[in-house]
Amino acid sequence: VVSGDYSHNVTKDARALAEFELIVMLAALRLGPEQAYTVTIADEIRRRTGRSVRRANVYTTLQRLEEKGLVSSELGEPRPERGGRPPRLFTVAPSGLAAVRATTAAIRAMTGDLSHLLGETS
Amino acid sequence: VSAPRWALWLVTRLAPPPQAADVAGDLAEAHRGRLIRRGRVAAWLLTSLEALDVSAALVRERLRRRRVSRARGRAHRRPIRLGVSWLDFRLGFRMLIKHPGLTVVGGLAMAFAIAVGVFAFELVLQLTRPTLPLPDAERVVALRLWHTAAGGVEEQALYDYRIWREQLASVDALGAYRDVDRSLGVSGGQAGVGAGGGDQRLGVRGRAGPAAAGPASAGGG
Repeated sequence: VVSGDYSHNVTKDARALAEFELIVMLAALRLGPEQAYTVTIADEIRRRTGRSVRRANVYTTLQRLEEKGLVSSELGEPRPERGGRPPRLFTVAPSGLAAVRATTAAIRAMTGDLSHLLGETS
Repeated sequence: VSAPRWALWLVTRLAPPPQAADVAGDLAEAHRGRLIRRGRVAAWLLTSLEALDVSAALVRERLRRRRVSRARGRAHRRPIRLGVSWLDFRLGFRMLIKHPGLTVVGGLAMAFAIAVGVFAFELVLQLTRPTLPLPDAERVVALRLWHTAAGGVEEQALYDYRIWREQLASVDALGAYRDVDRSLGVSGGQAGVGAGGGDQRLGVRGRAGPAAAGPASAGGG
């Protein structure tokens, strides 16, 4: 599920993301602004990549992405499964989307003609 | 069954205040999921380990922010360096010995430039803020005529005052005053200070004649 208005222009000077930052940003994009918080992002990464993800790392990464202005956050509604506490929902900012696009474009450009080695179809 | 209390307390205390509730909520939600998937004991152990892991991350993040804040503070307070070092003095001394003529000419040129600067500064000062042609005029700290209606300094009145004082024939002394309200708290009300009459305060008397009665001697001009 990809929701939210992400149809923004990509700037050429968008910052490149580190690998885990990119994965966290992609998970937040997949979950959308209504469902992207630390627990669900960690679960999404674990489910899709099979990695064992430490929630502390997700928490730290989201904090730093927010400091860089690549994501923004706000408190959601309190939920009973959280003991009546609200989740902090993260939304990918336009500059964050530009950074994701720039990073994935760089990866595609570098892996484009290596499919015979990497075993990728696209 | 909720997450271990000590774990919730720990992460709540270590998280920044605006994020304490959602960090504890994350721990509670993760614990609930483990309870369903893995059972009570495993959930308690895993949640305890995760609480320690999150707490360590929170402490690291707090220390990092403190380091960044201190580094910014140091950069902000960095003193201005003049850029003069011991090598500059050594070079100057060696050039003095090696080229004495050039040193003398350079010194004279700098002295001349300083003299020209001082002369120009004094000239501008005399044109813009001349001293009054009175004995001990340098003791006058300020003499200002303020046009209340126009909201500015009244230069013309100062000129007229000087001309008028020089042309006096029958007035012994000419003074002017104004009341200045100070915002000083004193017992019995507000302190009032009267700025004194011009000629008497300056120790200058008019040319001749008896002291005049009436508005001129009473002041207020």
